[in-house]
Amino acid sequence: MDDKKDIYLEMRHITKRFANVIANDDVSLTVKKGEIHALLGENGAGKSTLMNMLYGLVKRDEGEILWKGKPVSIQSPAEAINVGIGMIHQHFQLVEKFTVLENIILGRREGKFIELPLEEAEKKIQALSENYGLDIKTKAIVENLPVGEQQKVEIVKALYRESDLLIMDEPTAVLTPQEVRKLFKILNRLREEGKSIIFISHKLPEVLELCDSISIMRDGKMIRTLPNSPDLDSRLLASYMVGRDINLQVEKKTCVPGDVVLSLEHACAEPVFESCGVKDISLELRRGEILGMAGVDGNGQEDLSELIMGLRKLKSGKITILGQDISNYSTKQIREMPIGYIPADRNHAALVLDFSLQLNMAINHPDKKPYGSKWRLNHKEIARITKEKMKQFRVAASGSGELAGNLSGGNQQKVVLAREVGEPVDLIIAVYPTRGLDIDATHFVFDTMLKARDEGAAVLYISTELEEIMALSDRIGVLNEGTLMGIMPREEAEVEKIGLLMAGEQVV
Amino acid sequence: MNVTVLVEYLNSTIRVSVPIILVAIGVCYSERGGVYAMGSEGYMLISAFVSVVTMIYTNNHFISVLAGILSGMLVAGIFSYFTVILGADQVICGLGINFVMLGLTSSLQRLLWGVTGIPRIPVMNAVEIPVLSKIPLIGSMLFNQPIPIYLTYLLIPLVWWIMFRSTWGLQLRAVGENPSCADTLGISVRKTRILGIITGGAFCGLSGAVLSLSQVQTFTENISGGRGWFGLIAATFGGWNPLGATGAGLIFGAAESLQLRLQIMSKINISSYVILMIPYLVALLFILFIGKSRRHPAAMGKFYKKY
Repeated sequence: MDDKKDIYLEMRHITKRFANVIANDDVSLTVKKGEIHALLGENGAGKSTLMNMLYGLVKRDEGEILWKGKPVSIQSPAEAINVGIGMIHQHFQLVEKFTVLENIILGRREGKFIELPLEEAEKKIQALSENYGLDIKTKAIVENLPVGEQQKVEIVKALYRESDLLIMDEPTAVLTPQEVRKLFKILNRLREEGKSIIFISHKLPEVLELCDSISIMRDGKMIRTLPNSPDLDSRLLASYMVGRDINLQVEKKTCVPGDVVLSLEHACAEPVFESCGVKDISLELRRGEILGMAGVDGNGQEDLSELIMGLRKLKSGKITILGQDISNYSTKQIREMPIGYIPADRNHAALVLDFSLQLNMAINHPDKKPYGSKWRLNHKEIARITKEKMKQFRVAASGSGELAGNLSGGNQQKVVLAREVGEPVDLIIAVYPTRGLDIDATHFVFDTMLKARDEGAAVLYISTELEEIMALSDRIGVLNEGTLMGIMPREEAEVEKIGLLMAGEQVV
Repeated sequence: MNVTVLVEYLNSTIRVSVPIILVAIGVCYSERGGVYAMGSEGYMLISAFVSVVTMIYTNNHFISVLAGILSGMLVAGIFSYFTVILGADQVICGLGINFVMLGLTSSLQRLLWGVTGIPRIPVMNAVEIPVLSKIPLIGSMLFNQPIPIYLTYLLIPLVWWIMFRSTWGLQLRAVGENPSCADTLGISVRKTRILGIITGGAFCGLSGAVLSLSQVQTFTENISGGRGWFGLIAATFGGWNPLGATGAGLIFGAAESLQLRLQIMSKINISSYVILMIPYLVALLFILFIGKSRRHPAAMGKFYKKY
């Protein structure tokens, strides 16, 4: 087992500095032939930097890489591909308008100006498909394929280049539970064929189920590498990731629904750009409950939230908040109601990164007391409120004059929460509120949502992370292609059932 | 309209179209790679000038055309340095190239030949292709033309093949659609784009040379007169496909040629200014139609920064 020739990859004492930050500090990693090796860590722990160096996208400062026992330089992706390393990015690197075949043969190294090897490639892909149980249609245009299929194209792309090691960055992030099962089947097949996989993830149960070895990174350092065994559990792994013991359980009081706060009746909105719009959605949301909205990214989540906030035109149907018909209200009018809105895009929609925390705090109602009047801002009062809320929401920053852009993602989100739900509100619309946050900040968001709910707010919690939805929600809805596939009480919600709904299949 | 007039009209349509088609093909190369080809007018102008001057000194059509092509490539190379390496705005930079080339060629012309203007150069004779040119109507339209036009016939399918059937063509299109994807596959975005722009410059250069050497037979100020822009519109209308661009270029050629015919016909009582407008009106209509229907390469106009 520990025979030298069974070792595919050795990264030794890798260090990488960006300006003053050490992104990777003396990191070593060994991957054996035919193993699935998990790389765990929170956002910013240095996983991506390490992998980008392995794939030649980032140049390392110190350390060496050995491939099958021999030192390799790897200064560019071309070199990585040549030695047999393939990478599947979280955001697929596919040319959407090309066919599957064109995507797969793109970037062939030999014979630069010569004719494309269309037929020969077709045969090779067919052989790969059969061997690994991947069934792909080479003639299809990539943009017409569902995400799961696109991922298969990425896998075939790497196999076509004869990669022996696949780096997969958060491959399950965009999949439904059923698609995850299919992916795991493929990955197991690859392992049987002697391919190695580096599986980057923060989903602990998946890692425990699939992987042979687990390496954990924190703050740019490799904390430890351990073989997977039945003794391991999510809690232990999480404590290694964070560096201390933490409680992953969400404690929830029983739900006492009150009167209706938000109601949508046959609401429709046109799609914009690549989105899918809102198609005939009806729902009711009551005080004191959290309605979790599950769905794969890009299935109308942002359309729905923006429609409720008046950022999109209601094509037909009716939306009522607190008994008022807001169908024709402007966003400003809706904003004057007691509503907290946490938009999906923290960096562009929620905060002005070049503004101080103070101004970001006042930005919703700069012309209203206590922030200011029609003519001027009350800077003193804004500073006082900001400082108070920063303390209350435990925002780590040098002061209220700090630029929002200088804060970590978790602290930025705390600022948004402080502004949006710092005062009591009746309705909260939260879209992907934990995206990119570490475990601590994620739990802070959970606690804030549950506290608001217990104080009588109605919460619409939109997320792509099914685990979160299951942990927080009192009722669960599922979005697919802009349609609400169904709403069910938490007790009746099973992962399998939600997965099918997420994929757009009707469940009786 | 009798047959002779029709044949003459068709023949001139082809002749007038060819420079526009060549520019359109050049534009395809640049823009498929994701870089706006705003400087095509400028490449044409410099090449028209350089090829005429070379012709005066060497009296050799082949060398002159080659010199024109090289000058177009050189200026395109400068444009690619600014836009692809330094990340300058592609539209502004392209417009700058056009203005500089217009000024440069006009002043050099005055400087070298004063007010008398550049002397006329020998005609590039039409070469009749036996048998084929005897096909009624189409024969004399397609096969009784100067050599550069035959060259264009051969270039069109070749360019299509390179764009859609060669490895480099696939890479060029990928760089224009999703440069970061190309990057992860080890394709150099910069090299591919620069090569696309310079190839485009070569086609614009050929176009300028054909215009001045075989059609106008001298260099006059602003000789291209918007053909670079027509090429840009034709490429867009043709969906950045060399075949589509050729079709669109032919329509422009037909309009331009009609305008020339109408000017000669003294019987028609319309102001010459209105007649001169015809090709531009056609261009305007094109723009109206392609407003929404064409999806340009996804990364067009965007600088790709390599970290």
